[in-house]
Amino acid sequence: MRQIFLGLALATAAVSPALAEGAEKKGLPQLRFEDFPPQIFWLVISFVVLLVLLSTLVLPKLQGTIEGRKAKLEGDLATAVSLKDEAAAAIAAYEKALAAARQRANAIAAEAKAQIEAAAAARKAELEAKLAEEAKAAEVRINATKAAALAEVRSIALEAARAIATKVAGIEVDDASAASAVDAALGRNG
Amino acid sequence: MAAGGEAHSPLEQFEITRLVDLNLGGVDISFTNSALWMVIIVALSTLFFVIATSRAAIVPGRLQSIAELSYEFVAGLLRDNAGKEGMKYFPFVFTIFIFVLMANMLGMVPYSFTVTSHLAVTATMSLIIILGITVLGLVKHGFGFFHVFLPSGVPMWLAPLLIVIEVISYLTRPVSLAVRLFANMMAGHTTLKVFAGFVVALGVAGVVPLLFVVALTALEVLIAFLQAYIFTILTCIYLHDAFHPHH
Repeated sequence: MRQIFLGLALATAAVSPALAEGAEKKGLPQLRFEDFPPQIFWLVISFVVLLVLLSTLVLPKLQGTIEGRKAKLEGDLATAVSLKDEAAAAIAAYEKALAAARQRANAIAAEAKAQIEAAAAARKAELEAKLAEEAKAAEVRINATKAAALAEVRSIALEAARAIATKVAGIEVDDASAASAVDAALGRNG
Repeated sequence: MAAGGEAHSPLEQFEITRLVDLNLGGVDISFTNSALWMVIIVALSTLFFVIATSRAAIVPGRLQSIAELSYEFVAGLLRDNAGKEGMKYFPFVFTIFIFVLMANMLGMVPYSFTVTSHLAVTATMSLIIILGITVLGLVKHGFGFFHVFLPSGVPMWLAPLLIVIEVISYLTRPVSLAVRLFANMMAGHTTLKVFAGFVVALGVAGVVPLLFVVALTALEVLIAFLQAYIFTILTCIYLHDAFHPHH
């Protein structure tokens, strides 16, 4: 409604100067009714021709282009969305694979560590056993040497005692009494 | 618009001259200067759109952009004002817009003739539009179309007054539609011609009206577009009534 009033106001404002001008001569050319029929005839002809030309040659093509572009844009957007989804899926798969690989690597590392530790423990135990055995053997040897040494000390002491007794006292001591005296002395000191 | 050598009346530019005298069953259908410019309008519009849409590229060039812009402009007008049902009449509305726009714009060319500055042309167009819309409304809604004259929910005692007002308003439509376009075109061109006459008459001081004419020409180009737009949008709005007679 507002537009109609505006239009009317515009029209009246526009007409008034024009009417004032047109008062001279033989009136407004626009109001010469004998000129109406040819104008109306050619208006109808040219309008219909333009309508037919535009709606056959131009409008279907324009509509096709615009709708084709719209369809292409929508198709491209859909492709982009699906590509994005694909990329996201690929990333997820990659991360999953990465996590699995990491897990496997950890497992392998743990296994290797366990193996190495077991081997080390075995070797240590073996070594300890060997050392203990050697220590034992050494002890046995030491004890034997000690016993031998002690026996040797006894025989030397016996001989020394017999020699001293012969030299100092000039008496011959038989083996048995010398042995008992040495043993007694060794037992006392030993 | 042309500042001719002789002392022409500013209304001389609106004279209808018969180029070829023709007669069909007693009716004068002579090929006039008006008819010549109508043919030029049809030829130029068709040529422009055929060239502009010849390549139909996905990424449009300049001409194609203009063609698509005008298509979407009119389609938007029609969809917003007349609704989806109105899109069936898109070719008709589009042709109205292009015809009026071309007529107004070609009228800005010096020595040309403005087809739409004649009441015979604008009145014929508006009468065909309003009659067509009325017939369409009656076919679609039958007697229900007369709801246009009586909005629902109006108290009965107001009805006689309101119906009279609405009928007058409805009957004024073709008049306002026709007069608005023709008067705007005529007034603008007359004013231009009057001031252009001053340019010659005032000699050196004619620079002042010359500047005015330049500014006015720019304004007239704007009005040429605006009036084509108004003519089209009113067609769309009236078309809306044919589909939805209930206000």
